[in-house]
Amino acid sequence: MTTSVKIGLGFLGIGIVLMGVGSYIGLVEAPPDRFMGDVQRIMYVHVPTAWNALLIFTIALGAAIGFLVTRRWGCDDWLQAQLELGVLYTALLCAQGAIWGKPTWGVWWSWDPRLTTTAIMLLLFAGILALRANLRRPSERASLASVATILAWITVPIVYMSVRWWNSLHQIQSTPKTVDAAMVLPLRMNAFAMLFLALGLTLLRARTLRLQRQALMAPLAASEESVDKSPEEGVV
Amino acid sequence: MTGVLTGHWEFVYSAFGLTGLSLLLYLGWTLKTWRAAELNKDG
Amino acid sequence: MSLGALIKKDFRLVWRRKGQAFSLFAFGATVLLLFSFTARPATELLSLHGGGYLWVALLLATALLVNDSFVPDQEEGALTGLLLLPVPAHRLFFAKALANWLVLLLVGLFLLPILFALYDLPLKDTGGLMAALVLGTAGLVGPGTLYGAMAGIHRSGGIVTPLLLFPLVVPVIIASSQLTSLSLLGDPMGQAKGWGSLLLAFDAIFWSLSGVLFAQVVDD
Repeated sequence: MTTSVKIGLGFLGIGIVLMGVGSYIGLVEAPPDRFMGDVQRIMYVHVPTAWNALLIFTIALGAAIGFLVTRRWGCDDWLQAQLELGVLYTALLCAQGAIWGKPTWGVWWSWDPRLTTTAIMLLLFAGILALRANLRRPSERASLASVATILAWITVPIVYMSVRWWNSLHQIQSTPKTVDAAMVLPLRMNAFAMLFLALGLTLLRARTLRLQRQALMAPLAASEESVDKSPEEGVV
Repeated sequence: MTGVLTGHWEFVYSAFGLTGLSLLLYLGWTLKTWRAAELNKDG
Repeated sequence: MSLGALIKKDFRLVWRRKGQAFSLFAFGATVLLLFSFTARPATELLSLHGGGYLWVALLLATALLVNDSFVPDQEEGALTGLLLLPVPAHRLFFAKALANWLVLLLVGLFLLPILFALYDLPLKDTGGLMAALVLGTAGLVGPGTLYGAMAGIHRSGGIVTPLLLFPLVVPVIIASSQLTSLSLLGDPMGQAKGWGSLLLAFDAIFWSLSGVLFAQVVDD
């Protein structure tokens, strides 16, 4: 087993344990919110998902710029892994938000700035996965996806700032100062849990993608070698 | 319970359940494809 | 090769394919016609939503326009030859984007009479309407030309262009629909300037970003 896989599996273990403990505290130990009651507990999974989704897309931006500058395949493997994870997290984010919205706002979905910008972000990054799936050559897949990622990333700060820029139904970001101490702990634990899960999954996905690409390019590289060698060099 | 909004646990459990289940499914698929890729490499 | 020469090349290509521009106009007119059926029996809604329908029609036309805007360049390896010359890639981008902009602007202008006829619209501010058309179409073709290159040069599949372009230009659709509606129906609150500035900012950001990133799309 390679080191990256070992670290990845370790991260996954930490993430699963943290998520279990954090969710237990959030669901059982933490007090219900004074206004929102028990429904507020959805925040213990919703807020960590939101933080990590934005973080993952930002790592994807780093991988995209990294690929365009260095042309290293490792960057592309990370980019693909981050795109998958970011789309998964953002899709979950929208679903959790809808589940939260029904009992509190009375509707599953509202065309509020934060929800709208998040939906746009989800569609944009899902589109990049479709772009990748449509391109055969690994090098063009990597370059074009990097370009599209840089354009799509612009939505990330807009999603983050949307609740401040426009009057929104969605509440603004909470800080430990605005939240009861008993609520901070499960929030933090789940945030780190989802971060460790994301990192562990990324390391495993990156390894898988690397192996798959090598398997794809191996026959190609072999045939190029045989073409390059002239008969005089004596290929036996 | 002083909450204006009480109960609605079914919403809480669906949010946690959906998240956990999706992450587990993706994790399972990741492990499956990774194993297959490692085996493929070793021939 | 200078930007001027490249622009000349791309405008000549547009002229040579006049039929395509006409088809796009016919396509846009068909979309406007289809929308007029969706509001029945409350057809008075058409005059309220007409501005938005125009932009949806133009957006759909953009996807078709950009997707094959690089096709003539690839005949007989012309684009490969161009790339061998010491021409900065962003010049190729800006020439092509300007040509696409011209086509979309013309399509938009020719759709206006149809819009007025089908939806029974008033017109309060001609200048505002022209500003909306100029700035809005620029916002659509800027990133559109970049994604069109992905489709035309790399065969990323026609469906990918709308998948990437449509969510990205949502701000353009919102702002130009608002600006168009305000210029048609009147602007008592003086909101037009804000939407116009938003469009201008979007155009500036996405034209420069697409110009910079275009090199990465054609190089590979």
